[in-house]
Amino acid sequence: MTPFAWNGHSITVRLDEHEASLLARLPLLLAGVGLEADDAAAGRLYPAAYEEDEEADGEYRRLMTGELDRARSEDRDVFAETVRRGRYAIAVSDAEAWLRVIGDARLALAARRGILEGSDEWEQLIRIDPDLALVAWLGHLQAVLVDALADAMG
Amino acid sequence: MTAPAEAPIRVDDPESTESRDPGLPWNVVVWNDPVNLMDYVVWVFRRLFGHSEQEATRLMLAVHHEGRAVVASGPRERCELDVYRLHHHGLWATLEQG
Repeated sequence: MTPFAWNGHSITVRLDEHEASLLARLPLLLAGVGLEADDAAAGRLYPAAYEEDEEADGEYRRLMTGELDRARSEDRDVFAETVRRGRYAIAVSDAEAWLRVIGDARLALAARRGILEGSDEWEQLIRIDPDLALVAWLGHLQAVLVDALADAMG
Repeated sequence: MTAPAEAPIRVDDPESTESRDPGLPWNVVVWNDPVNLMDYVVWVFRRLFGHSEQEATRLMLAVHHEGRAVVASGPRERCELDVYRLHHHGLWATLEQG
């Protein structure tokens, strides 16, 4: 049973109740990024554009952070409005929003567990950390959804 | 040893980022990260830059094996927009000149 597939004009979705309820939590998780001080997830989802030029980076953030917030908020809204249990189809553009929400959730959860760079062994931690088990499961969904969207691309 | 009376102070010149050699192109750099899936990164390169699957895969593997790779070059404004689009897709991207 594959949760996502390209059917020639849209992306088909097949989720059971447990899967849908887990996914329905993601918009709230992401809306909370950066609300607490020193949130590693905020550092990962809003990385520097200029590594060695604080001033240029400040200017970039002044111009672009609001835009990025709006784009992510739209993605979360699309996701929240379309995710539910059952079998149904969503537009490719909506599926792309799903992909970004699922991907951002993985990055946020992993960042909060200190997985930012150079730790390719992190998957071993999945067995003992429920949040990382969620990261792995979301990774499975993301992989299948990427396949479906790559099929849509031709 | 005492601190010199005129301690080095970083002077923030608002024009500093504009005074670089305008002839040098800007590069968009994507950095390796342990969480994003390889297939997802390939899809993002195809989706954002219109690359073939082969070219997108080559770039993804360069990021993966070398830690970073230049994925686009051009005028600064366009590179900033590319960095924005890559950030929107969760990739770790920066821009630099040269």
